[in-house]
Amino acid sequence: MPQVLTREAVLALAPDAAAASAGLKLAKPGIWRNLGQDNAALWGECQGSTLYHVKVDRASHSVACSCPSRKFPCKHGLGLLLLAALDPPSLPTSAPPEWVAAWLAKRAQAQTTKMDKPPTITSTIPGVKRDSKKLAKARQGIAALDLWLADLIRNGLAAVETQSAPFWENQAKRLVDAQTPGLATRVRRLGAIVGASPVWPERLLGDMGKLALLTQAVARLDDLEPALRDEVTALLGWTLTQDEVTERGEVVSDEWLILGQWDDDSDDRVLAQRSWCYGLRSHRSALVLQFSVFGRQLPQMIAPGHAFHGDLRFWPGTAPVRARIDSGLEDAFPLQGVLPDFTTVTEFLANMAHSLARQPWQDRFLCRLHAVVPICDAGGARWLVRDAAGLALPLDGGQHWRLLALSGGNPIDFVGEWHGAALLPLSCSVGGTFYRLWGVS
Amino acid sequence: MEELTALALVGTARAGGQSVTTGTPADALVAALGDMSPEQRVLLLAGMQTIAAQAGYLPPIAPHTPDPAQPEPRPYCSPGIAAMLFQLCSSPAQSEILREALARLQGAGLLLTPDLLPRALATTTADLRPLLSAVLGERGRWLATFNPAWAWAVAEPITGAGLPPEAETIWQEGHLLQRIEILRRLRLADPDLARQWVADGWKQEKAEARRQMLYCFATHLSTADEPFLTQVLDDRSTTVRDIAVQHLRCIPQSALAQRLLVRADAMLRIDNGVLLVNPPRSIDQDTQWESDGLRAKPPSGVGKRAWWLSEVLAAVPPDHWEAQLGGNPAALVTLATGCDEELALIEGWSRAAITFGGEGWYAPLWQWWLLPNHDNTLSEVYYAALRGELLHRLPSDEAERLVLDLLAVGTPPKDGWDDILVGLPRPWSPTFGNTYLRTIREHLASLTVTSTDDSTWHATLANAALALPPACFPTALEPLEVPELQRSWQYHQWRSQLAQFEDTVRLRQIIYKEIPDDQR
Repeated sequence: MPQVLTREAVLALAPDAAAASAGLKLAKPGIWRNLGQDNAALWGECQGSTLYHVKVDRASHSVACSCPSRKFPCKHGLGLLLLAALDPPSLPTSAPPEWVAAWLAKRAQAQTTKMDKPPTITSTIPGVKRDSKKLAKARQGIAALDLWLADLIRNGLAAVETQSAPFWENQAKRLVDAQTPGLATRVRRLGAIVGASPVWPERLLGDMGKLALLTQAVARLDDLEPALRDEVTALLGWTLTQDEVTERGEVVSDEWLILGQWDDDSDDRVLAQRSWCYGLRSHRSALVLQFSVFGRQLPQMIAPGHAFHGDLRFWPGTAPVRARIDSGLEDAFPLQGVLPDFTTVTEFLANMAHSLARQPWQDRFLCRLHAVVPICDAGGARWLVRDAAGLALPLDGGQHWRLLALSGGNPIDFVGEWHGAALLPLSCSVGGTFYRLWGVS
Repeated sequence: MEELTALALVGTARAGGQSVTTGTPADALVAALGDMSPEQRVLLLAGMQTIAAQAGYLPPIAPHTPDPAQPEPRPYCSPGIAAMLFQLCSSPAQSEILREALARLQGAGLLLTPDLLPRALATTTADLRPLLSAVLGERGRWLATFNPAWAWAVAEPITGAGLPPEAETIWQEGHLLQRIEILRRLRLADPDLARQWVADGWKQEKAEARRQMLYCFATHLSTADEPFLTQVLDDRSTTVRDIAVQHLRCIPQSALAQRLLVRADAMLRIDNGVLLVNPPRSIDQDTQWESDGLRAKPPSGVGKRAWWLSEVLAAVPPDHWEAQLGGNPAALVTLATGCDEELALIEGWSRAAITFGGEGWYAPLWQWWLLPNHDNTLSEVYYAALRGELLHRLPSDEAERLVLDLLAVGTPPKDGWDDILVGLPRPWSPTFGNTYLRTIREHLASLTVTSTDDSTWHATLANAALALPPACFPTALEPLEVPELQRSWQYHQWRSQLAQFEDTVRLRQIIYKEIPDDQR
């Protein structure tokens, strides 16, 4: 029988707190009818203002419910999953009713159709396929960008302080038109730096410099080794299709620990769920990204504090970090005990430096620190974590009281995302118990 | 990087063609790229410097780490309860259940898990703080030292009974919560010394502190307190003055109480078994009317003389009338019915009974309020509150007996059952609880598809969920079916109230099951 989710895992699935509490209220056998389960699915009927049919595909934990709610998963789905978690005997094993069997059959068919499609043929430069016009257009846009950047340096950055938002936005739009959305995002970020802190000129110049290095790389795209070429095209914003990743990406089979997760909603339209995994034997860090538009349910249920034996397929590159989970996630089990391979601050910084040498434009890194003590300075204004050697790394702005409470002044194991100047706390492990920090206050 | 930034700020146009070098291997790399403009060179060098700086990040030396928290003297509560408390802490609507849970935790000698501490400390409801303080544990107090907003939690609650040896230090330097606790205990042991302490620092105290301190004077109130209390009558804060007036009224020999008695006796006499009511025509001659804490202006809809009568009656202990007019409370209430000023008399006596206490008065007064003999609809809510207070002060079994008699009669009271039941002391006795549940079940069974339910039984569920004793939980959780009523909004009312009832009872059941009984 596949693994049943724990209560905490189901609650983590909920799109917001209201749905979670509504789901808890529905997790009572009394209001459900025709409950049942088998190897492939869970199902039940729930009385709302009409009778709603709720089905859950166990392999992918995806929920289908006939209610009109726009939330995924809706409270009925959460209720059914919670019922399965808290009161397994209430779902007797039986043959699925017709409406469940038909749904499962349809899903299986869609799956095979996807797999039957032959992989598309790619040229040596990924993302470009057979369209050299795209590359030519990009090169035009990049040439214009180079001139624009050079102009800024020639006239002096001091003049930039008085520029209004359209100055940066127009250049970004030109880059989007030139099919290089990755560069457009970087230009927008440049605009955000101006005046944001006392050291903004240095920071602005630095980021402009990194952008210039990237345009240099694009100019020499054909001369680069394939792995670096993949990195550069990814930075331009040319995404690989799933088939391309299957064909060219590296597969690593290992016991993977899901160490931390947070949702990046800095882009207005798309929510990016960033999950960091760590392979026990390969000692590899991996970032699994899932995107959600308008609160739609994410395809995979990745819950921090769990581990699984499975395959991760990495995007090709010189410092492969981005990956997708190909198998093993449905049998994830909760993490117990002490987490291995956590490092000191010095070791983390050294690893980061090595990774930067392979791909210099990276700006976010998984940070696993062993036996650090959280420090709260100045009544909550300044936060750090300090390791046994006495070195500390700052935590990003915000209140970290729960971290401090869990530690109680004692050393704990800490998982965070390093953003170049500060750490974003994601999870921690205290006395063998895993706690999620981000998103729980 | 500084040189490059300075150059970039000014602009290469103005800086005038100086060759840019950084003195690092980056120069050679850039040179190897071939001919390029100074701007390009600046950009590429700056990019490389930035990346190098990122790779070579120097972590700051940590400030001194604080000492870790002391080990806990008592065990933590179970994870199940912790998860429930996590939800309860953040929903103010369920603060009653939270209160119950915290009190039981304290009784069982358990502490909040560290996970819960930030949420517990951030509670803004002030009256939850003493309850929380007892279950925070060493780590909670340690955590509170880091945040100035949590100063109330830093101090250890005073355990045990009697005065601790460092009582005076705590009085001088402690947080208000602790100082009040010390004062309360001192007042039990040595009332005069307590008054002395309060009087010494009176002028420097804030209004809230003065109010809480004065409140403690209720214990062992005596004539010795009169001079200080008279002085407090001039206080800046209205609430403080009101408490002082209240205390003075309770001291029978005080000047204020005597004056009130004089006024009262002038208004109410008995003559040949008939009550003679004679409120004054004007209070202009009475200069001390307002300073004695009586209000001169009646609320809208109430006549002046009736108002003055009830104000004075409310300020005089009801047992005075038993002596003055002769007869027991029930007889006096009967005498009052039929008078013109019946409402004012009963209202005044009710307020007096609530303030001063009066064993025999509660039941007759409560029963009077049940009858449809007052129709001042403007004050309905106020009268309902008075009635609830009267019932609340009766001993539990007597109150329940009165309500059971009312239930047996069968006709619903004109103000609805929910008002009545709210007044009953909590928790209910198991017998009453079971009777209540049976009544609800029978009532629901009597409804059919075509009936309209004009009763207010569904409104009683919210209070009942909090008042039922643990012995009644299994019965309470048996499913109740509501038939589809003619008015669908009533049907939905029932459904939602029942759902909430069930949730609350279930939560309380978990609290009673997971937290063991009082070990003390």
